Parts: sequence; structure tokens; C-alpha cells
Amino acid sequence: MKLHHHTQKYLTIGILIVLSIWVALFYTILLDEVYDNIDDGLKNTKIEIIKKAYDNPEIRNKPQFGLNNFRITALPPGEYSTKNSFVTKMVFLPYDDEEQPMRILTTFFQDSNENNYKLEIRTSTIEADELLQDFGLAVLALYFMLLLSIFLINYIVLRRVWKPFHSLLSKLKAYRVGNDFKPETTNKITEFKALEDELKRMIHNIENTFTQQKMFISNAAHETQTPLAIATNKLELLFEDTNLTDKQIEQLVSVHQSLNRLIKLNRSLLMLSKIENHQYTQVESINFNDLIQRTIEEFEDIYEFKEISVAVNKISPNPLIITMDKGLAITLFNNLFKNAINHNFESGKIEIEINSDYFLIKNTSYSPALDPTLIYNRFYRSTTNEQSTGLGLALVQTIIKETSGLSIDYYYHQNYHCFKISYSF
Amino acid sequence: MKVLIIEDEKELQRTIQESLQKEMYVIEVANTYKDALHKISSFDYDCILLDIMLPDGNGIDLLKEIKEIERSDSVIIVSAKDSIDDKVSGLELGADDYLTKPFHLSELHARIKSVLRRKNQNGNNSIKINNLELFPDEFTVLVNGKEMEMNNKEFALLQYLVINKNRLLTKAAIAENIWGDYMDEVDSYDFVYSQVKNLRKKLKQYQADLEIKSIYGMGYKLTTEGE
Repeated sequence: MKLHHHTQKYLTIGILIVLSIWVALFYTILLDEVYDNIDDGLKNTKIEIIKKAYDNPEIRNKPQFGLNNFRITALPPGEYSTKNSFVTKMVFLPYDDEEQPMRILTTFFQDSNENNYKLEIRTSTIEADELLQDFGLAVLALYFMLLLSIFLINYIVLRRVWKPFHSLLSKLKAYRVGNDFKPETTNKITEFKALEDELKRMIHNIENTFTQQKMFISNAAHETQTPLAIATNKLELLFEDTNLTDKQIEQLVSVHQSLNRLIKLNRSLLMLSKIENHQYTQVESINFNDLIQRTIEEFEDIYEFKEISVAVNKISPNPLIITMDKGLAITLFNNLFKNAINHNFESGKIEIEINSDYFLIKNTSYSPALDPTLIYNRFYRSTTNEQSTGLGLALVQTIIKETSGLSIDYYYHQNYHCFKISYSF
Repeated sequence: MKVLIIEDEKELQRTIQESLQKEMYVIEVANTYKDALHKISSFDYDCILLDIMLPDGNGIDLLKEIKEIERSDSVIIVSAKDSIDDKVSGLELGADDYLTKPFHLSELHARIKSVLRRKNQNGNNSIKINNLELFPDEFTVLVNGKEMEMNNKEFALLQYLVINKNRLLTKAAIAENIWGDYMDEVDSYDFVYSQVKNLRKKLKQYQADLEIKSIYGMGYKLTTEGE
């Protein structure tokens, strides 16, 4: 729910309550006032009538409501209160042929001969009611007008006031570690300015840490290359020495092999950190049909040595074209293919399927289904294959992450390990 | 043949020096940019091994300097930086080859020989060992004047062995030289063994006066028979 919907919701409810109470109070007071007014008019008329009727028997003779809207009824002698009593009721008016609300005043008086009479005066309240009705409608209209204008103002104001916030937010959304974050510095609202400053400070810290870590990894990998070169080359020199015993040679061989493994590991780590540092930017359209064909040819000696059969199935007549760095494209397929060879058994099978939006590489293997949540982890090994660096699939995944549109899916199907690389444009 | 090694890492420099001296090269060394610049401008070398990262300067600048004074020295860049940019700019500036640290010494020998061979394009460019003659540019091998039939990989393997004759080649170095970086896995050593076996068979079939000796499961050495 958006912020302005939230405020709108609370404003609507709040205004409804406040306005309802206000309208109820106002209406009651107004109603009271209107009837008070009518009653005052009736009282005036009463005094006039009593004054005239006191010694005028003609006026006293008014047993029916006529045009004058009053009626005098003679009463037997007795005690009668001279207090006014008011009542409102619906009265049928023959000349209008309909019922109308009437305010009726009833009181008692004595004439000059001390005879008792009841006086009833009535007046139509229809105009007052109409007035009140109009007033009610006006209040209702006012309520809606008020709501509408509040909504509009709220909407416009919120949009204006929150504009710097939204621009900051969109910048933050677009931000990725390692990229620049430069919000506008024209923020006038204190709170947003503070938010922006805090964000800048935080991102600056993150960037610093990130850069340091990046530098550390690539420097560490770089710096180890030279000592590794020295160590292996010294060993190679030593091998040329003919005065070594078999046992010594055997041990040196094992040292040399370990060093070679370390070199490979180091190279892979360097490459990983380079990909993560976005150092591969030679983006071009890569035809994977050609690339896959070429790679298979390059590896021919190796898989044939293991007597692995490789089959390629092109499903679509259109080639698979992916826009990415060429070096990464080669590394991506090489690693997957190498993986399929290395974890295969003698006389195993590799099947490759290419469509216009994906390629699938399937291989047989001794190892059972792998856990897809673990296989991309660095240094994850399903077997105790000593020569495997455990970085091949981590490299694959990093390349996939770094290339927009690519995704990888692993599954185990009918004794085949399947890696599917999909591309969406 | 005069070779200049520009390398600030003394141990590495000494190792390279020792290995190259066995090939009867005349070696000079420079550990700093200043020293290197002085030597380059004063003497002629057949080949210069150039480290890009020097304590007091950049090897790329040194390369520019070499090309500016129009020396015909061949330059092989040796760098710990496996960066494509460096490789491209180095080769564009006129370096003859680019080698990434760490490398196998046998690989370095092969690169130097190939660079020197390209430099001395005059006359006979073949490598002769006993009754075998290898023509690197034509990709042909003659034994007793008769052409040996072999595929690209076998030729590459034989060439690598011939260039490094009497020197031990580790299986890792062979695998990397011929099949590139893909060969980092367990099967590679058996694989190299099977390839060497094939080549041996062929050499025997053509009665070449050479022998590929196995050295303790470590690697192979090409020796001229009778030695």
C-alpha cells in the first residue's frame, strides 16, 4: 500500500467522524433554533388573538381552523393552566388534499366574562423542514467536496514533497555494489537530506570494504603467482639434476604436482574475482552452435581417450546467439564440458542439445544426483577427486550471474546429470 | 645468442638464468627499470624477457622505449598479470610473445626458440636431430628424408620434445603446451602417457634415431640414442 493511500485512508475515516459529529451537533442546534423561531411566532399570534378575543365574541366563535389557522373551543368552568404546549404533527389539509407537518400551540384563556376557552394555533412547518433538508444536503455535499479537495491536495502535496524521496529510492534501486551512487544534492527537506547523507555515508563504507576486499583477493592471487613460479621452476631445474635418487624424485614429483594444483586454483580464483569486478566487457554476439562445435573438436583427443561418446542434437535451425563477453562464453562452455568429461566414467556418454534459446549438456557419471543448492559453492566436491579444483561450477555460476539474460538449471534425469543454460533476450 | 632477463624478483631471475645458461645462451640481467633501460640502450640482445611490473617503472613503457630506439631485439613479456588488455597492448606495441607467470621452464624455452627462429628467417629453419628433421613452419617432419605422417597434436608434441631435447618435460607442461589450460584434471597424465606412447610407436616405425625416455612417472625426455 502506497504512502498516499495510507494517509488518504486515515484522513477519510478521520474527517468522516469529525464531520459527522459536527453535522449532528449543528443540525440539532439549527433544528432547535428553527422551531424556537416558529414557536415565537405562534406565541406572538396567541397574544394578539387573546387580546382581540377578550371582548370580541365574534373572534371567539372559531370552532374550526380556517384561513386564520386557529381554533377556539369553549370549555366548561374549571381550572386550566395558561401554559403553552407545543406539538408537531401531520395534519390533513383538505384544500391541499395532503398531509402536512404542522406546529400546533395549545393554550387556555378566559374572556371578559371569565369563561374558559381553549386556543389552538397552528402553522405549517413545511418551509422550515425544506430548509433543514436543504441544509442537510448542503452538509453532505460539503463533506464530499471536502474529501475530494483533501484527496487532491494530499495527492499533489505528497507527490511534491516526496519527490526527492522517490528519486533517491530509484537511484538506490539502480545501485549495485561497485557502481557509482550519486544522488542529487538539492534536497531541501531536512529529513530527506539526513536520509540521503546517511545513505551516502553507508554506501561509501560498503564501497570501501568492497574495494579493499576486491583488491585483496586479486592482489593475493597476483602476488602468489611469482613465488609459485619460483618454486615450480626451481623444482624443474632440480629434475634436470641426474644425481637424485628415485625416492627423492618421487617426492619432488608429488611436490610439483601439488604446486601445479595450487597454480590452477590460483588462476581460477583470479578469474572469479575478475569476473566479479566486471573486468570482462568485450561483449559481442556469440554463436554458441559454432562455439560448442569448436570446443568439442578441441577436446576430441581427451574424451576419445576416455572412450566417451559425444552427441550433439540441434533442435532449432536457428543458432543460439548470446550477447556476452567472448572469453567468458568460452570459459562457460569449456567448464561445463570439462565437468561432463571429468565426472564421467570410461565409455560414458555426453549429450548436448542446442535450441535457439538454451543449451543442455547431459552426462553419465558414477556419482548420484547432486544437491543443486551446493554444487555452485566454491570448493564444493561431490567426490574426493584430488585434482579437481572445485571451482569449475562456481566459475560457471559467476559467469551466468554476470551476464544478463542467462540462467542455469541443474537436474538429474534418467541417470544423466543435466545442466541447462537458458537465455532470455 | 644474447638474452636479457628483466625481472625484479631475484630468485625467479636466477632460476631462469640457470636454466637458460644450459642452452649456451649469454645471459644478462636487470632488476630495475633504470638498469634495464641502460642495458637496452647500450647493448644489442637477441631476446629480451620483460617483466611488466618493475619496482621503479612499467615494463610496457620499457617496451615503447625499445621500439623507439628501433632495436630489433625480440621481446617476450613475462607477467603475473593475466590480463587481456596487457596482452593486447603488449603485442600491439611490438612484443613478440606473452607468457603468464607462473610458467614451465620448458615452455619458456619453447617460446624463446620460436621467437629466435622467427627472427632469423634467413636460410634453413629446420631443427635437425640425428636422422630426424623438423620443419616448424611447414608442419612437416622428415626421417631419413622420408616424410612422417602425423596429425597436428602429434606434431606439436614432437616439436615440443625436439625444442626441449635432453631436458625433462613434466606431464603437466606437455599437457598445457599442447592441449591448453583445459587439461588440469586427473586424467590428463594418463592421457599424455597414451599420446607419448603413440608417438614412440611412430618414431620406431620410421626408424628415427631418437628415444623418448620416461623419467619416473614425472615426465619425458627426448634423447638422441647412443648417449
